[in-house]
Amino acid sequence: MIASAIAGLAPFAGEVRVAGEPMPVSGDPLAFRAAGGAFVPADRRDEGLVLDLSLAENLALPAPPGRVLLDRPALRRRAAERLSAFAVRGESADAPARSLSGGNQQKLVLARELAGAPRLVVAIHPTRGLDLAASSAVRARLAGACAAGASVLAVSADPDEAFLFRGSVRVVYRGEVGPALPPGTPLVTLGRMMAGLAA
Amino acid sequence: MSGFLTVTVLLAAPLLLAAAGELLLERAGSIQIGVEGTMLLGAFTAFAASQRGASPHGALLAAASTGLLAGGAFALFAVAGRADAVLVGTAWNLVGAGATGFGYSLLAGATGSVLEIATLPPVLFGLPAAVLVSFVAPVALELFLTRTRPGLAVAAAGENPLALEALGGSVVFVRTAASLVAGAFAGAGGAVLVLTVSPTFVEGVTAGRGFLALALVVFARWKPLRLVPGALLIGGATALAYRLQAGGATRIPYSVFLALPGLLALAALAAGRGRGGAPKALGTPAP
Amino acid sequence: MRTPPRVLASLVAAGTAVASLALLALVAGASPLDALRSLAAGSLGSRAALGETLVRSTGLVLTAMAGCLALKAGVLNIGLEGQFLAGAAAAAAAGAALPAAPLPTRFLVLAAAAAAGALWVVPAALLAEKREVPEVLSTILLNLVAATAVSGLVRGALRDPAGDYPQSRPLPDAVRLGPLLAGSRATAAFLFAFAAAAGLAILLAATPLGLKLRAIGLSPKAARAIGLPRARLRLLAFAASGALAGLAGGLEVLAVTGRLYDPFSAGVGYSGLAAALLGQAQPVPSAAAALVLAALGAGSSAMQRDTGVPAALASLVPGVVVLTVLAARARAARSAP
Repeated sequence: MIASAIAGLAPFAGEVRVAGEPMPVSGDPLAFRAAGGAFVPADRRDEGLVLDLSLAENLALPAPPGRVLLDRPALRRRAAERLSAFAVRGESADAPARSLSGGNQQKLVLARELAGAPRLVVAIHPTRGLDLAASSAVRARLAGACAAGASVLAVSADPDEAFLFRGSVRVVYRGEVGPALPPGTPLVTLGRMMAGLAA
Repeated sequence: MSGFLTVTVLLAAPLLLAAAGELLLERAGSIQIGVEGTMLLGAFTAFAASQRGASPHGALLAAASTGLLAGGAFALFAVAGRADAVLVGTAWNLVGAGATGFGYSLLAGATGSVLEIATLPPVLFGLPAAVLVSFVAPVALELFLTRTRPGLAVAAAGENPLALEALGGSVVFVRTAASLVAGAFAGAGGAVLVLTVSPTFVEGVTAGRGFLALALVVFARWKPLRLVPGALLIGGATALAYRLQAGGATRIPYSVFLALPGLLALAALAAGRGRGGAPKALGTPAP
Repeated sequence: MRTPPRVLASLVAAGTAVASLALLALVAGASPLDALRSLAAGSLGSRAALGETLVRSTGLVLTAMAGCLALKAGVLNIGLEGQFLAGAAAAAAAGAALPAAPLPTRFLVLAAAAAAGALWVVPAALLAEKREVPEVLSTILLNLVAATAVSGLVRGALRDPAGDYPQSRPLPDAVRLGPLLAGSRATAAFLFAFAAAAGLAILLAATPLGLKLRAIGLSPKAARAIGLPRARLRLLAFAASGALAGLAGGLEVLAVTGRLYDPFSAGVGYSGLAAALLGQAQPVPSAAAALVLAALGAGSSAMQRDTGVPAALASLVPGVVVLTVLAARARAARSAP
């Protein structure tokens, strides 16, 4: 909930600062993006992609190239670049997004979201439903975005994974954000905090 | 009962019947925007049956049967067939208008003269039994939905179809049953229209009442008892329009009052909270 | 080898159409062959017939395009009928009031018609956006209001003082479009229809805007998350489809009737929507379906005259065909993953 709100999907009171610079507060996804935000939603099929559009078309949204007519060569070029950069494996750039496997669909979402060097990346359950290889690929991409200067906020329901994301880890229980936990924190402690019990 | 009030009640009755049926269907999670087509089919059936010598009540029964079949057809396409209900409803309106126009041309031939049929006999307060029943229907529907087990199944199909399926119920069955009843009610509504106020049939005699019934359901926030005041309001506006039309010269053209029901319905939709109170699974296909 | 779904759907549609035509002819006591023959003759068999088909196709193709645009963007604009009437009323009012200079007046009349159509849908668009009122309901209610408004206008504000039939003042002859094919009612108006179909096809397939509209139509939930301005795009789709339907009404007055009367539309808005449904909201197939509906309408009055089969089947048969096609498509969607 908090993560979606930060991504602009719900209005909230308060302030969000990234590297000292404030982000727009209102529930406006467009303002969020204009300020350099990127969003990887929890449901890649219903919210992350337009399954019936092609890979290239998905990558082109929300701002397809071209002024009056669609600039198809530019579209294809961009698609080819990003698909190879993010190792998205599919039949072709013109195949529908529906035809990709779960892992490749998530890579496609990342390819779209991370391409523009965002300031803040909000990723909700980014590895849900993915196998080990795909999960680690997703985490690597997010780490890469971090290295490139973005702040990444990742939400996961899998305590095993928490420390695989590099960066500070906190447990959120019923809307309350807990303290930052050191890397060696045992799994049991994480589990107890997730259930709302004292550590 | 004074003349104006009687006409108002007579005009409200078809609307109430159609709206009550549609409300039941929507509470079950389906939506039939083709209710106008079904009302037309009911109206025509009543007319045709009367022409063939049926008594007014016989004609009413025939119309309800046609409506039942119409509800069955809708369920076949939109519930069991899982085609988009809005699109099916749009097509159904074409079917209703076309079929009744076709049938009327065949029946009335090239005479062009208006064919009159017998009206329903008044029983109480100068109102026919069917009209009185139409005011009881919302109450019966309210009791059905809140106090009976089938009624709860209907509500479940509309609010949480997956839960109903998990408990062993069949959403398709419930929605089909609701569609049959809704169709019968709409057909009866159409019949009451031509068997009371203006005892004849013309193409398009329902004049959008099916659509007003749809709006009435939303206006009533899907609670049966609230259908009655809205129906009376619309009936009253239409009665006023007819009176002005017959009466002749006034400063306000009677068309304003004919437009009033539609405008009132729009205002009600705007004032309400749109989908507030709608069954959660309304318009979604059966699982 | 499996037949491609689109071919199958067209075969189902054609088969259903022919079968129901034949059945209805029999019910009316006529020979199906005679009925089909006079349908063909009445729609394509002579210059006048062809002209009649073209005349009807203008309104139907334009409203079908309006339907396609709306459907592609996920907007359920069932109010094409009312927007058509609004456009016709605006055209009748403007045309009778403006000076009889052909070019500028025609432009203004059509602009007024398109604007009126777009404005007529705005209440529904706003209610959908601000109050979550389903546009299915609000657009239909606006249809009802439009019909009564036309009825009132031709008896009141726009009434033609000459003659006692309720209708509006006629447009000057110089402004009305002249016939294209000698001996028929067809004018250059149908060029608008084909331009609209071509334009829409290009818009949807080959422009950034078209891609965005298709995206919000295909995945409304993804639209917000991806960063598309869904509300703005939907409003645009509403307004544009309203404008197209209004333009259709304006052309009907400008090119065909020359004035407004009551009742004015024979369900053009609903038939155009049916054509869009048959064409699965794709511009070219929908325009083709609209042409078939136009031919059906043109031929059916000849058919009624010659064989006694009521012309109302020109609404009944399309309705039945749409139902069958919808059912066939739903079944195909369920069997394929």
